[in-house]
Amino acid sequence: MATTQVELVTPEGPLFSGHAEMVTCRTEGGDIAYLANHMAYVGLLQPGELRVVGPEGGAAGQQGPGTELRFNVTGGFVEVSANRVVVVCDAATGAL
Amino acid sequence: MPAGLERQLRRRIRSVQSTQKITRAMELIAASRISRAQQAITAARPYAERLRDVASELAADPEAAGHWVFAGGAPAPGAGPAGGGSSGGTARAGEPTGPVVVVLGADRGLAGAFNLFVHRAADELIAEIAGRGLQPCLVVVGRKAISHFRLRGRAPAAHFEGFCDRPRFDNARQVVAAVSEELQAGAGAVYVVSTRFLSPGSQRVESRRLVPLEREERRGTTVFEFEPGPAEIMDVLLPRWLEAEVFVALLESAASFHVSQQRAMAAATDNADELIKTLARHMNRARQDSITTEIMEIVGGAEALRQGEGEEALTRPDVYIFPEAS
Repeated sequence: MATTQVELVTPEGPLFSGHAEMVTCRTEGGDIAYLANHMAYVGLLQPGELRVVGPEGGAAGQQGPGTELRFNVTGGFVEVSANRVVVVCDAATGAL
Repeated sequence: MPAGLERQLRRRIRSVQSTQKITRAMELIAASRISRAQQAITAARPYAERLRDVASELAADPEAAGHWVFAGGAPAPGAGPAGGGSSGGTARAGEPTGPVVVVLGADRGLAGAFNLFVHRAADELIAEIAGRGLQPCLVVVGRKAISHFRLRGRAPAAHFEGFCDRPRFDNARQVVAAVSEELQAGAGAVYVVSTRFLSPGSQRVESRRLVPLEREERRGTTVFEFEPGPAEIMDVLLPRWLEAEVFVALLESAASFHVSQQRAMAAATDNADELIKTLARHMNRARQDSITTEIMEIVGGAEALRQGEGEEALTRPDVYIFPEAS
């Protein structure tokens, strides 16, 4: 399964960086999911949950196969380009 | 008064020694803060860089490029009719009125020429802006910088102090809130004067313009989908991006301040060492002088005594004074 590079960046520093199969978050237009090779996109991130679903048998960060990371994020931006999802937000917590 | 001189010098040495203790402590404290400040910079840089990426992608879009924050975009809101999303860079913005100058200084001195360089660069920029017939609006961070401008009769529009040592993101937010107010009021440009932290061995004071944004050349041919429209994203992006830039600038300024202070205090400690050495030499000299004088007096006195007693001894044969032993 194809994966996409994911980065979660806050003013306090990068919070997460790794590969994932799918990323979901809330934007102005509603919840959005990004799979690998999503088209170039810039959107406004709404406060909510950010889910990073790890690839089968692979590892997004340190998690096992098929598991997912959850972050609570505040407002910010989502930028997708060249198979890379960058989530830039004011503050984020979570990842368990 | 040789004895008095010695005591005086001893007191001066003690005073220099206690100053040295302070400068050494300050040097160590500054040194320990440098690495922490550096870590904060590396942690904050990606955020600013990613926001810059988003901004440059917006700049590549024709609709967003007409936004007033870009050079050659529509006039700023307030300066003219608020034409938020006027497409194409048709309306050439006239010279922006009353640019905002953000000066990042320090709260404390004792850091070599750190404050001096920042103040000088700020004065140059202000003079340059004034030369264009504009009245710059100052947003000043740092107690030293505030008093510098007050002294020159330039009251800052907004000033902040107390967080120059270890700035937090909230502090950047406060500063940008003040800047945004001025932007709303029609200031078409934002300049930042701050010390850039290039490496622990090299810092440089820089004046740079944040707004209007220079439009970068398009990086690729990727067409972006914007949600909502590019102009709306730009409106949200601008304050956030300014916050990120100001935050990084604050952190770099703080790290540079600590480096300057460490260097200045190391030099002061060395100078104190030098001074103590010189003073000790003078003091020993003075003490030797007073000892020599004292011996001279004793020898002279003994000599006089022996001469008087010597004659008497000759009349008493049971007492014999060895002349060499006396």
